[in-house]
Formats: sequence, structure tokens, C-alpha cells
Amino acid sequence: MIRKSDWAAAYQEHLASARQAFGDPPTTAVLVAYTQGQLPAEEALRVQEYLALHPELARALAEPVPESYQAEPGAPDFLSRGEIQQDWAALQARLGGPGEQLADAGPSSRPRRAWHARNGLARAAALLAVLLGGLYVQSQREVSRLAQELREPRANFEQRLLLPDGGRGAAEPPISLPAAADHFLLKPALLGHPDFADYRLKIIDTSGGKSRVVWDRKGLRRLSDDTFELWMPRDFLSSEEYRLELYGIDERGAETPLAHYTLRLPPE
Amino acid sequence: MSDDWFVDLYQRYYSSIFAYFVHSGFPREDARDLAQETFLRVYRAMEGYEGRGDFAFLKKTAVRVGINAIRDKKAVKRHGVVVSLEELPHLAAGAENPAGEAPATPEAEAALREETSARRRWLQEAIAALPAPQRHCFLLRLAGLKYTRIADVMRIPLDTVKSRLHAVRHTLRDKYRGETEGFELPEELAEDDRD
Repeated sequence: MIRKSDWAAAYQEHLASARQAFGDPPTTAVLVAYTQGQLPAEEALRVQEYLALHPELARALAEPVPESYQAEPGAPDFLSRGEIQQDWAALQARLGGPGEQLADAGPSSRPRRAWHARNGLARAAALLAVLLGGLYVQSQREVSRLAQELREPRANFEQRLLLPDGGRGAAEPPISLPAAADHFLLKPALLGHPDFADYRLKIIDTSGGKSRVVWDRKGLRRLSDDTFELWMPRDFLSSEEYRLELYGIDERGAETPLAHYTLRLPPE
Repeated sequence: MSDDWFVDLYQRYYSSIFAYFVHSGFPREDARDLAQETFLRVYRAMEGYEGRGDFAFLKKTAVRVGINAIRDKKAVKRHGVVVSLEELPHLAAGAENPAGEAPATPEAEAALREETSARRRWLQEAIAALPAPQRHCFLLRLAGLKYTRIADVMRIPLDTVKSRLHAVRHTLRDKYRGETEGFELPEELAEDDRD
């Protein structure tokens, strides 16, 4: 006679042995790509096998994230206003803010001005300083021209997906950017790496055997297709060869080199 | 960059993100931590970026945070028992000795153990022998997922889930026929179209 307890035991034993035999688990990025239908059939089947063996992950992936949710008071998924305030204070502390209270407002009223607006302004000022500093080697007139250009619509730009060095096939030529475009939308792709808390990109001028960092920025946003977007005026890339270096930064601030991309620009 | 957008995002969606984690099976306090972690990541991702976090980005971040939390938890357990009966209360409910009494002799106890072990081996082999698409649906159903959730996870229509589980039921019954008397399917497979 086969009973529930037999099923429970057989299920556990099957999970234990199949999990051991499974091999390397898919990364979080691959799991998310699967939910968006972006994987080839063979890889999708492997993810399905993995999810069948890890039902708690399957549950988290299948559970809808409600855009609007009203829980009943007393239900486990209900948060009181006090708890929301408490969590807001904890979040501020983790972000290093001064701990101002979240506005006690209904859904229709506007929130109080952000607690860290001053930080935001400071960041914006620093950003501007870095941008201007990078361009200061050129004339003030050139800066003004570029600033003006940044405010105008773009009509002539080239979008280019950048595959990492070592991932472009046996011949591995540098990535060549067309001379004709005024601007580039560069999309460095990050293949097969887990998520990091933050990312950093350095642009290094490597023309003529030199190595000079011309741009260095943290806070890059990894997009759902595992690329980053970098809007680049052609004028910024005045040398013939550049190397882009991408780093992942974990919660403790430790950096891991993830990929690099060699770019070549034909002389104008 | 003004951070008003972040306050707005928090006010609009914090409860929803918390509810998502609770519905995904996290204890309440863990769900609060994970909801905070989600907003923290969104905020940090937006630093130095000329944009604002929207719900789509928040949602994707929440799913990633959830997956990572489950994996971290599993990494801690990796060297222990993989799935405990507590995690399968719907199956564990029937985990009692069917007779409810201790065997009379050591020989009878050994025979009972051998019989139980053979039954479970048979079931395990039967699960492993199922075609992959049927096995995936069956394992998720045994884990307690609803038909609709299985359809979402497997990215297949609900009717396909039903037909695969129907096929599993027949395969297992046919396979078991003649082995010995009495075959009780798990409750999760007892009906065709629940949920």
C-alpha cells in the first residue's frame, strides 16, 4: 500500500539526488531572463528542471508582484502605518540619511520633500564637476558647444552592442566604431555574471601604447537584457583606441573585474 | 537629482513589495527586511543615473532580491537534509505508521522497514522515469504549487499543466498495476482541474 508518507519520502529523496546531479545552478540573471522568455529552448528547459527541484524559487518567480495591494488589517501581509514609518526610518539609516519622518499622507497627497535632497544636490554638483573636469583639457568654448549640444535632440547616432573581449570569436578584432556618427549609444554586455550591488566603468585611452583613464564612474544601472547604456559624444572619443573596463561592486565595496572591451575608432 | 521620486515610490509601493515577499513564503520580519533591501538597491541603482526608478524596475529588483535571499538561505542548509517534512506539511500529514502500532518482533520490524524502503525506491524510480515536462509539473504540484502558478513557472497554458498531470496519473497507475495491492496517489494529483 502506497501512502502519503511514501510520497513524501520519495519526493525528498528524488530532490536530494537530482539536485546533487544538476551541476552549476543558473545565475539570478538567467532566471530573470527565463521569466521574460529570453532564453533559447534548451537553456529554458534546464531552468525548468532547476525550478522543479527548487520549488521555493519557483514560487518566488511565479508570484505576481502586485502594483496595488490592500491587505486586511491583521492579515500576515498587512503593514500598519507605524510599521511603514519604522521601515522608512530603517531604510534612511541604511542609506545614511538624517532620519526625517515620512510624511503621514493619504494616497492623494504629495510626499514631503525628500530627506536627502541636499545629498542629491551635492551628488549632482560632484557629477557636473567630474564631467567638466574631464572636458577641461579642451577649450572652454568646446565645453559650451558640447553643453549646448547635450540639450539638443540627437539625429545622427549609432547604437552598438559591445561584446566583451574574449567573447567575440577566435579572431577577436577590436570593436570598430563608425567614423560618421556624431554620438554613440554604447551597450556593453555582461554575460554570465551574477548581480552586484553596484557597477563601475572606466574608459581608458590606450592609443599609442599609453594608458590614461579618461572617465571613471560608479552607479551604472544593469538593464534587464544584461547590458549597460552609455551615451557617448563622438568628440569625447578623440583618440584611436580605448579600453572599457567593467567592475562589479559588492555590498562591502569590494570590486571584481567583470569584463573589458577594446574599441577602435578610425581617424576622422 | 531630486529624490522626491524615491519618497513617492516608497509611499506607493512599499506595502505591495512587502506583500510580494510574504506571498512568496518569507516570514513577516524577513519580508520587511527584503522589502527594505529592494528599495535600497533601487535607490543605489539610480544614483548618478538620469532617470527614476519605476514600478517595473522595482518589481524586477524585488524578484532578484527574493531569489538571492532564497539562495543564501539554501547555501546555509546545503550540508544538511535538503527538504524537511516541515517544508511539506501537506505530504507530511500522512507520515504516520499506517498500522499505528509497533511491530511485534525485530524480524517483523526489519521486514516492515525493507517493505517501506522498497515502496519508496519504486516511487522514486517512477518519478525519475517520467518525461521531463511531466516530471517538472508533478514535482511542483507535490511541492504544493497551484495549477495556475505551475503554468506561470513553466510558461505554458493552464490546460497543458492539467493534461501533463493527467498523463502522470495514468502513467503511475499503469506502472503500479500488478506490483502489489493498494495504490494511493498524493492528494495533489487526485483531481484533474482544481485551482
